Amino acid sequence: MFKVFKTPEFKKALNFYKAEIIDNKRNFIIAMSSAVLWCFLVVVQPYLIKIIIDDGIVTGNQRNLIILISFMILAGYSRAISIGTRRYFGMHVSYNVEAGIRNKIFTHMQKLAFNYHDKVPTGELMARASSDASQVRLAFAIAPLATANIFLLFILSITLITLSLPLGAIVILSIPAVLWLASNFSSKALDISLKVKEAEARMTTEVEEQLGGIRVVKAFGNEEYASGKVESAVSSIYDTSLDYLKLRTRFIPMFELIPMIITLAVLLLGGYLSINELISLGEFIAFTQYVFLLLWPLRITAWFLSEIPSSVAAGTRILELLDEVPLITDNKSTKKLPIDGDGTIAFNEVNFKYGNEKIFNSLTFNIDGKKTVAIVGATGSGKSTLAYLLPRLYEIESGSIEIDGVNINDLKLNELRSNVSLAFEESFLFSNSARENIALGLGDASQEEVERAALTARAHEFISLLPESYETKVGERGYGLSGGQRQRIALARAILRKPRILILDDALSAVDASTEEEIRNELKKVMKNMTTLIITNRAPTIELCDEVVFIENGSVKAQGTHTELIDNVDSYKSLFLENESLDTQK
Amino acid sequence: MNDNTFFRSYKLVPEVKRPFLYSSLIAMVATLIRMVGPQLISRGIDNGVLKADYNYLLEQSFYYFITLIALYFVASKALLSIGLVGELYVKRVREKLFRHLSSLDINYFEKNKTGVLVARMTSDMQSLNEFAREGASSIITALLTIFGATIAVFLVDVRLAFLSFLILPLLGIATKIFRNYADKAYWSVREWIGQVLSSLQEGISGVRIIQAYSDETSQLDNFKKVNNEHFKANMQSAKNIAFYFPFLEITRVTSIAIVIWFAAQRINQGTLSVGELVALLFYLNYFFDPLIMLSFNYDLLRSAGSSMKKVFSILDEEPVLSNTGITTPDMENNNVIEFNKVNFSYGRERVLHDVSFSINKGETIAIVGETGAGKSTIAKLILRFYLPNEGDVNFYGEPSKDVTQKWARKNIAYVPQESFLFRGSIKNNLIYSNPEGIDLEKELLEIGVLDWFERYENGLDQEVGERGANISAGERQFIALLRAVLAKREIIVFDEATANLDIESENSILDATDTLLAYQTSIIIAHRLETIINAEKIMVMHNGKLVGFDNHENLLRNNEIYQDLFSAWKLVN
Repeated sequence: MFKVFKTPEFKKALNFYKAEIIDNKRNFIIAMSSAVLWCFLVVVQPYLIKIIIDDGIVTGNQRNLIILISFMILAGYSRAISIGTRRYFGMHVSYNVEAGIRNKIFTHMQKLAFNYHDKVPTGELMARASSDASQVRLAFAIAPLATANIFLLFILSITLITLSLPLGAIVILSIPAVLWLASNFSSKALDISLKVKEAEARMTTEVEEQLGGIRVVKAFGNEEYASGKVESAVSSIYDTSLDYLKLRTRFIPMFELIPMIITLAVLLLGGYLSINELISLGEFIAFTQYVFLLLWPLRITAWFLSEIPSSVAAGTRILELLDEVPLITDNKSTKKLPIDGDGTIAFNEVNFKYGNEKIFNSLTFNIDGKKTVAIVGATGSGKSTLAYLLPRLYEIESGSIEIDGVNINDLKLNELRSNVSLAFEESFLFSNSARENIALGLGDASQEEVERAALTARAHEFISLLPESYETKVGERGYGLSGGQRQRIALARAILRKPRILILDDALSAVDASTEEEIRNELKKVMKNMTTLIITNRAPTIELCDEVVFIENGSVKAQGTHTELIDNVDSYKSLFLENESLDTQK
Repeated sequence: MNDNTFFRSYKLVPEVKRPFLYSSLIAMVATLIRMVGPQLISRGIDNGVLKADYNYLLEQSFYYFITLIALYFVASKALLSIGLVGELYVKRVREKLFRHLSSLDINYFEKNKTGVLVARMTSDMQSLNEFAREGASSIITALLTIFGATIAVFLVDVRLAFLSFLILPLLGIATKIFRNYADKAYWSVREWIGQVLSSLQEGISGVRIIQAYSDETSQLDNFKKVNNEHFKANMQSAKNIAFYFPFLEITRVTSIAIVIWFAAQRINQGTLSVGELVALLFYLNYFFDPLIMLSFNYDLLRSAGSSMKKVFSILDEEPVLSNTGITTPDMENNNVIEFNKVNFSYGRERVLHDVSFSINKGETIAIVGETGAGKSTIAKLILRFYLPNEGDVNFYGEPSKDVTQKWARKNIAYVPQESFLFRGSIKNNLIYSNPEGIDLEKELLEIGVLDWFERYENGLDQEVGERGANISAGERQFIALLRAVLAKREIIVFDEATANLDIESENSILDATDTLLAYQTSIIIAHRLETIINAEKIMVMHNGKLVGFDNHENLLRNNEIYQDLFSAWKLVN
């Protein structure tokens, strides 16, 4: 009957909620106790007034009246305090849960490897951390009150049973009725609210993408098209929300109806019993009073139950993200890179796929330490992928990659990645200061070290000219700086950590020729101390290198010096044909 | 919400006005039916059970049952129509907001982070929805109930009525204080949620760098800091409520105590009956219950108000560039682009000084210069992303400020430095400029690059991830270039757009440009000799000034700066 409460999603969400409540035990208990106190004081209020009228006013006893009124004021003020306390601590719990979920999502997301982020758009993750987290929060905001109400319902039910067994039984029946209704509602609502959440995430994704690409949108005058896309996502939120609304409005009034029908039943049966003198009139009146008291907690419980499906749907989506197992993690090995290692690299029979697309087919090569090696291949041949494999940003399918004789899978990620430094093809800057961008991952780097790295990367000069020099914020993704300037900051970032292995993935593509020349001269000094992989197809850069690894069709086609390869490998030569002809043209 | 925001919010979506009134009406009917029930029950008890008349009881129960059925339908209908109003409102605000955002000038997006703007479209709308769903209509019902109860209290006894409302001014003052604090708190909640989302957005889109540089801990610390500020702002709002709500309860009890005390004296004097007192207390509950309901909604209202203020702060941004300009240039004019003594700054320092040049139809112009010399700024002015501070940028003889935005967008194509691709198939990215009008395969075949796409498992239907994730930067650039070429605009601007390509791919693009774009005017920002040398004329930029504009040979002969650049290239080569 209550299948929906037994589904794995539901159970998982409930366990998650339980854990959150345990984390916020103290505040939750305070909120709940004040809710119980409040409910109790709400319930006694009419009785106090009845007593005041009967014992104070009707009897005309001034002293009694003063005492009773003071008592009522006292109860009222306590009630006021309990409202404030419940509100404050209840909200503390719920906001804390929400903030906690966000932190968890952020932490977890950082652990998930590239292959996850290639699939899941930014907006999708943002939606989980914002609107889904808020939805879960709403359930926690009413949870203390609802728990208190259930507690109250329990006490009232016992009172009713002791007052009259048959009447009490009728009233108790309302509880499974409410539960049945709730489960019926939940099983239908869960799906629909999941769809609402998905639609919301889709819109977040769409908005994030269209705004992120606003320069392209505007350059093509496609504002209308972009709005159209967002609007269709907005419409699907609207449509799914209406479905949910329709369902909700069919069920919610029933929740309200059940207690009313119960009163009706009590009235009919109680009236019958009383008229036939099976129970006394006094008993009947007292009983109806209690039944009235029951209406309100039942209504709050129903309200709470009706909020659960959307909360569970949101919780499920959050858990789905948190349950995603990070593919690339530290393993148990405690191996370390040899201290005196000079950065020898060995790829042995490495196979790698993106989804179904085979990139490397038993890729094998060796690079000696402290060498500067160019990785060459046509656009899309997997050069960048190779750069990602070395710091273990993607997991290889089979084979092994070794640095100084140690399999990279046996190294702690932290150690591996602080020894392998990668300057990406597209230089991503954070909207922090220039300094923080260079010192990424090395919070304790001194200003001097930062400047030295910037000097090498020829970034020092323009950074010094910025309004606040190294402390200037560089704006989202570094907008405001030119492509060449961004690349130089990214290069300084890569050099700063003095890695054992430096990988430059077309890292100078947007830098102008004369600066590139200067950087190259500076780099030569730095590169002497480390193994450097330069991913490029530019002859001048390649000529700088000791060696070339030429990749074609997923494996190493040839390895040797540039001139050797030009002379012996036709497909290699054709990559430079155009350059050659330009050279002669000059 | 101050009155201004309130009325603006109301007027923003005029089409909800009628459904709103309609749903309020139904909600009132539902409230009325709810009040009938207890009357029937008490009659059933008084006249049925007490007088041992079971038939009467049955009769009243039957009526009660009927009201229950009616209530079910009316209440459903009320909930539904109120919900519809809320959903419709939020939908319209979202549409308007995004439409407006997309019309704003580029520099707005340079000042405002994507994450913050996303928060306006998501989190702020949620707070609006909470109010719309729960609040809007119950406020009307509550106000009406309070109004009715007030009249009833006065009808019972004028003097006691005044006494019971004596404490209300205090409540008014408390509400005003609460309002000030609440507005401040909710404003900062909205402010911080924007920061949270933008920090999150950056943490996600920069996740690759963060992992490669093992910067997870400090990123998380930063995020936690911002997230905690948001939490604190939320708790500030909770604190306000935690003081305000109890105050309401205190007012209620105090009022009731005052009424009972004075009523007791009057009953003693015989000027008031116990029945009247009971009625008075009954109506006072009808007065205070909705008042508490109201204050609860008042809180939601303040929160929604802060969100709407944020929305209006965006809607109040004027899109300068899309609104100025009414003429469409006569494209027969041979003088396609002309800069006349152009000065420009992004705000801080001047980046272009007195730049003048003109470009004729069909020319291919390269702009060279060191990083930061002002090359990209010239491109942005040509794209009409900005207007010059001083001097004129003319398109076919018309100043850019007079030209319509639409004309500029439909006649100038742009290949930006970063090749931004949208999620979806490669095909959809390529036909982006004209989704309905491009016969893609035919065009690609003509250009001779159709077989380039055979590298993908699904060819042109290959899906690319967000921002083109899962294909290489070179491939992204190739696609972005083709996208601009296929747009077939009169003027095309390449902003260092071939940097990541291998020679083969670059050549096929340049060939395509030659075949497709013979009539086009191209402006190429580049620092690769191979690209530059093909241009008809070369513009040499230095520190924001134009220091040479001629062909390669002449520049090499006469222009010192160009000679320097060239010797660098030669060194490189």
